[in-house]
Amino acid sequence: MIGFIARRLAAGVVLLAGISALAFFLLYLGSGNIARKILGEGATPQAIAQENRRLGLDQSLPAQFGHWAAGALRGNFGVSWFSGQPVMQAITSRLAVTLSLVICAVLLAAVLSVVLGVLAATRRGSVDRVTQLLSLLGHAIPGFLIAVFLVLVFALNLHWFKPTGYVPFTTSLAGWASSVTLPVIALCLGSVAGVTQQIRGGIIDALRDDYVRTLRSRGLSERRIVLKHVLRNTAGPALAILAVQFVGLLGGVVIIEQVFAIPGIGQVAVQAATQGDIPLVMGLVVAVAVIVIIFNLLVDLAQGWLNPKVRLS
Amino acid sequence: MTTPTPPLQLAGEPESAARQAALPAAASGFQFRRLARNPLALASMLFLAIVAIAAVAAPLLAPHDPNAASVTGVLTGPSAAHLLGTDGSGRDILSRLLYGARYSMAGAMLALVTALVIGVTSGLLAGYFRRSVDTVFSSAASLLMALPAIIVLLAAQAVVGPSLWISMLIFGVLLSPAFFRLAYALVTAVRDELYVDAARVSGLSDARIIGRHILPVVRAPLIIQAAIVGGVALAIQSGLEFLGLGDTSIPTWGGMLNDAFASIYRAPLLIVWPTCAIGFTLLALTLLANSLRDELQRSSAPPAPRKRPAKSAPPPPAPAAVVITHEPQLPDTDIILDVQNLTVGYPAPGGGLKHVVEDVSLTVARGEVHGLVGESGSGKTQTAWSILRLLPPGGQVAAGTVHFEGTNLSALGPRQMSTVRGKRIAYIPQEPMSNLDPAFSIGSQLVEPMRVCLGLSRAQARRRALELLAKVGIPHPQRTFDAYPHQVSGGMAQRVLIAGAISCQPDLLIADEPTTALDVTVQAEICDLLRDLQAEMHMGVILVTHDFGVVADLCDRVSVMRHGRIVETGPTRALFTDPQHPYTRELLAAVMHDSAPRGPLVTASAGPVPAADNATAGPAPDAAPACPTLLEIRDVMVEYPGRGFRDKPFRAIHDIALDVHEGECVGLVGESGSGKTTLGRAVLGLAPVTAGQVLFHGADIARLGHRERRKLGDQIQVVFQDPYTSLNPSLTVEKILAEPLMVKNISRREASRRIARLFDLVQLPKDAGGRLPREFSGGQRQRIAIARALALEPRLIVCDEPVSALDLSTQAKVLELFREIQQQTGVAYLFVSHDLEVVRHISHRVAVMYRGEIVEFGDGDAVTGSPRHPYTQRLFLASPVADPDAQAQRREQRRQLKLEAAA
Repeated sequence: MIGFIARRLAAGVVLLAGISALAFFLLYLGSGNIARKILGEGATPQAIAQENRRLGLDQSLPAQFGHWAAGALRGNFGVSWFSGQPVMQAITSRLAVTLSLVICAVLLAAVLSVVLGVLAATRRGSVDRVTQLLSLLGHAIPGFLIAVFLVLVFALNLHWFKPTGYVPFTTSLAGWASSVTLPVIALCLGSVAGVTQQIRGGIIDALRDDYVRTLRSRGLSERRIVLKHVLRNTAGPALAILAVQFVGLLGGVVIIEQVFAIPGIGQVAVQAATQGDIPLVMGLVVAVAVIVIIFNLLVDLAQGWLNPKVRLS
Repeated sequence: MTTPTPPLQLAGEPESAARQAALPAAASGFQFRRLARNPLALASMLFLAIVAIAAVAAPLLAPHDPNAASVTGVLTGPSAAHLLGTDGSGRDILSRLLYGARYSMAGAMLALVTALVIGVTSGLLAGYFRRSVDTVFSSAASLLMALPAIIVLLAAQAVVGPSLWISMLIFGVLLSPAFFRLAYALVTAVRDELYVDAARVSGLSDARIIGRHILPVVRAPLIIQAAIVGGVALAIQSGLEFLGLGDTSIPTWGGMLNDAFASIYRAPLLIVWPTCAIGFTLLALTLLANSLRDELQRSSAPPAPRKRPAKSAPPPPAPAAVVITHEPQLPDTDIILDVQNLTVGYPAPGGGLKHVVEDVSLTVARGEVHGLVGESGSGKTQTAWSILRLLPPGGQVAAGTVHFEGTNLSALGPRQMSTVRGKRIAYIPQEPMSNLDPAFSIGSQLVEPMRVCLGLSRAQARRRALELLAKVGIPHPQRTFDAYPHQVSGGMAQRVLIAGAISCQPDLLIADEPTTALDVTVQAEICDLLRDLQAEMHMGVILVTHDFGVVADLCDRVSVMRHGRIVETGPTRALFTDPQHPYTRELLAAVMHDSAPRGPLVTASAGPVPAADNATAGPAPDAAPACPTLLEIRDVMVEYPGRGFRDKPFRAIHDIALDVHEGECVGLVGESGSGKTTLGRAVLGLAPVTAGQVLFHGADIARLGHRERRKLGDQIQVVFQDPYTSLNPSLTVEKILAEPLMVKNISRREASRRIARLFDLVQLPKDAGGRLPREFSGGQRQRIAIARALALEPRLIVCDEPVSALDLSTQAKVLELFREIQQQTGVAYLFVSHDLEVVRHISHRVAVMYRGEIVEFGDGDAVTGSPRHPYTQRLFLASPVADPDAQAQRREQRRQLKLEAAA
């Protein structure tokens, strides 16, 4: 098991290095005239050259990357070109908020999918049809449209929730719950659709498998077979789908934060993109990559626990 | 914004991949016309058509310039001039909507096409050529999937600025893994099919194989995926524009959404238009994709079960059968199971019920073993399942009763039936590996039912489980208890299942072909085990089987089933010595035990080949000059490299020395893992020869390049085991037979003539050409495969277990066909089989393989009749024989052999 974890960690590190290098070269290669953008149109050539030296842009790209990487390993991701704020600070101050949204969405998606998937697969009939309909809507309608709809109906019309704003966890639990409810729902519905389909399909297929018939022949009740045996076998593929959905969630949260005016990474990302603030963008890319890698590692561990073949081969 | 999950679950689980292997067959039988009958699909297609028209004809339809702003007419409601009103900058909403359709859809299309081209090409290449190509592309795909698309697009925007087209191009690259994985999965599912191997042996080039067998399979799923990915592209593009990124000078739906959201307090209804536009388009795409997927799955013929023998011709309308019963009958007091007039059916496609079991009555006494024997489709397994009430979905008992120890089982509710199962009636399934839950250890699967049925504590159940494992002959009970199903062999798994079945001490045991999936030597041991357990626990047993040898070994009484009815029943000995029903006689005649072996090859001019001394190992003796050597295998070794860094290479076969003369049939017999299939594939060029020589007509063909090897297609051919997967299910018989001829550039008329002649040769009906393989029975499909092998008039055919998947009666006929063809055309065979009797019947000389080596090689009757090598002796004694006395004799001899070996 240790070897399994170690191998996954090593693969994660390699992936991170690869993403960082690729992103760095693409970003710095593509962006010209940064100094002019920062100083404005009327800058003199000497001022531009001086700015370039200050930013380190006069060195060769591999040297710049080496410099950046050395700093990154120490936690120093440079300084924003436009605000002067250290990148690390700009991101970490808002990361917690975004992560809380995403983690809640993932957990909610997992729980809902299991419940709906099991009900749809075992009860069939009208429960199944309703679940299929919800899945269809969740698949078809993107999160931000759902968010807009939720704001219109629940916040502006029914006044059950405030349409914008975020109350930190530490300030008030109830306030926090109220401010994240709509965003989390909008975020997770798409994932619920996908994972529910997987679980439902997986259970329906598994119920036709040979080993299920053998378990029935031993006198085990249908309930025990579904909840203990079939679910364990179905969970593996469902987790894999959830892992893919997670990546999508990290992207979707950017837009959801915009709709609900939540002070997370989303705002930083949009601003950095509009201005062309490359150090900030690099920091973001690395931060997101690290989050994805950690999540996938956790999912791999869970897969190892669920599926003996993964663990033991 | 979720990344698209492909319609086929690509979660990487091998089980789901196997299920998808059935889909390639469906993909080419897809019907677009039938789709139009689905109302949702039709509505979706209409809506998308409207959007497309709006997009294309926007300049003609739009009443105003979409960018014409006005300071005065801001946020006005619907009016005559502006049908939908104006937005926050005074621009006409309807015009923006129409032009927005154009740009939004164009952007999505760009992303889609980019993703499709990159993804499908790389997926096809990686899936077909594998190895380094595969690693590179798969790693790239993983890299692309590691980051959220929106973050990457944001980053890209930081560099290239707001441009719709560049963003969508980059997005296309990010989306390509969706197509890559789909294409890869489809290609790998098909690539390992036997009909692709057959095409390779016939000499088709890679490009032709891809075009002919692989592309048709990929088409329909790709269209489904395109609909989904198109939707995702539109969604994400709109999302970015909603954020305020993207080109604000172009009217897009996402941009409109952004405008409307900014004015949401002043004019909340403004947001409805772009929301509806985006929402309904996405909904239409999703509905269309779903309908396509449903149609794809519906158009697939249900895949015929792979390992079972094929169904025979459709049964004649059954008259009321008179069951021939041999005396003596049993006294009533001893009977524990009483089945009366049982009829089981499944819903027929046209309505009504199709009966698979018709009016079956049988009884089982305490301590008696009652055999239920028949060919596939006879209804014996369905009968067994209906006693346990474990029929597959759709199956129902239409009539009849089942009484067990006085209780009427048919009247019990599902929960009550659960208490009967396991505790009083137990079940041993056929396939050991697929009947154990892969996620739980073997020990826990034994312990759990015991705790539920007998109420034991965990410690008690554990102890009992270990005792049972020892009792069924497992050498290290604790180790097996802790192991998982994938870590044990088939034989061990079957012992575990037997242990589980007897764990709650049932009164009746239903064994469903418990030895069919096992090797012959293991089969014999399991039969001995069953016999001992049955005697000790005095259980009643219903033994379902198609093998008369097993019947002779184990059963006290036997019932013969055919087309769902019992045709004859009685004590075993009586049935074997004096079968009365013509069908029983036919079956017993097809069993080959007493048939004469073929004897050495006789040539017209030089008389019989000097009988080879039965060498236990080593090369065959020299052949007479009139019988030239066709194939000579010298010291061949096939070794596969280890999978990881430090894994040792796996040596499949080594030190192989064999030869085949012109017109001769050399049998190659062995159990699973013996390497016999690998040797056959090495001769065909489908397995890499690591050392040694394979001389064909004197020239070494072992290490020929790709192109040279292809030229041998008209010299060496193949007939595979599985008639279901060795023919491409979507090609007609004519096309299948024409395939090898394609390589030789033969004119169409000549090809038709040859194909007609082939039909005669293999006794297929003349109209077979235009039909699909699934319309034929297993035996007929195998004839088609034989015809394909003969198309190029080869000198040698490698037959890889060609009759193993066929019913008993069909087996005999197909073997007869093989003999006739050899006599007529003088082709030589390398005949691989696990069945000693079959090999004996058809081969001149026989080689026995064990663990990758040839242990014995010589004349057929010598090797099979009086074997010298201990393994061959064991193999011979383990083969079940359809004669109770002979079987008892063999049992005794086996026991002797075991004692000698232990001493």
